[in-house]
Amino acid sequence: MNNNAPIFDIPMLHTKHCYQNLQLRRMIFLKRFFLFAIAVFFFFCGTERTYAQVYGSASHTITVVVNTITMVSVSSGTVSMTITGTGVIAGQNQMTVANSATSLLWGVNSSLKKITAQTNLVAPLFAMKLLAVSPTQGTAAPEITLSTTATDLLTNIGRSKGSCTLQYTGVALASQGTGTDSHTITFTVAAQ
Amino acid sequence: MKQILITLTLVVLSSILIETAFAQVTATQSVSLTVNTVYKIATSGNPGALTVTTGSAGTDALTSVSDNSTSYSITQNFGNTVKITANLDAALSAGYTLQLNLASSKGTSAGSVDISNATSGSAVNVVTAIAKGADASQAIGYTFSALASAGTLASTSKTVTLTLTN
Repeated sequence: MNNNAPIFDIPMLHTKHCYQNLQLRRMIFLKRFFLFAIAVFFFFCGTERTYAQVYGSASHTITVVVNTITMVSVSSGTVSMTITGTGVIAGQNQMTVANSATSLLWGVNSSLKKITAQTNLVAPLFAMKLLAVSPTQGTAAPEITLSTTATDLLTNIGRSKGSCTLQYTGVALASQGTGTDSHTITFTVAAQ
Repeated sequence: MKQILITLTLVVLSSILIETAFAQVTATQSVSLTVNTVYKIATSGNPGALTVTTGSAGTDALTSVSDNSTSYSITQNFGNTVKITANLDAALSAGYTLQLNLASSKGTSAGSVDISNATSGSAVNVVTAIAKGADASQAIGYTFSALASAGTLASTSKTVTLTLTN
């Protein structure tokens, strides 16, 4: 036995034990309170969602407009053709060359339209013909010889988008000699 | 609320303005057509064999034979001074004569031209001043003659070349 042990050893142990008990109970209490608080929080959230009160309302008018939109474009801005003599038959005056490398594309959201074509070249040396091949919408006109007067290329284009292949055919007579024609072709969407 | 309304209005108006600005009813395309110089000449085929079979007693020149069964066609856009020349691949022996006559509606025919000694280096004109354009199915005439003094000639093929040139 240790004679040097303090005489208040036993009460001290008792006090320590009581203190630990108290701490445990406090923790249990806090834990329960926390769980209760969470339950109350979710309860009120649910209640609010279920019984949301309308305190006021407002409305406004939105105006949307779709204008008449008419689009026309070509797949490439340049077409070049040359008659070199290849395929020319001796004894025939007429020589031709064709190009179908480009397309015409359009979009129309209004009533029936047509597409016309014309050249800016007032006095071409050679004839330039144009045909709309396999239009996805509308009706292709018979092959036209381009002039400065707008001529129907496609008709009966309604509210649609579409495309067609542009088939150019250059026609030259040997008797016309050599030379170069530079056309600027204008495609116009017009009322039918 | 007012700000939202203003914003929406502005968005709608902007869309309309943008669409209107990009609305396009025409498109253009540059198309060029170049016609280079073209020369074309062709013949319809080969003439039949030209065989001298008779003559007149007392005359060295035997009776000539002709063939007009073939034709030629041309197309040219170079100019109005184009001509056709003719030559053989090899000259005929002395005492034998081959004449060529090309008809023409676009140029001036030289009539019957002796091509017996015309080779590639000495081609002769048979049609001159051919205008631009085409001349189809014009007659080609051959006349072959021989002198009795030249003796017989075994079957010999000659290539006649017609050249369209300027």
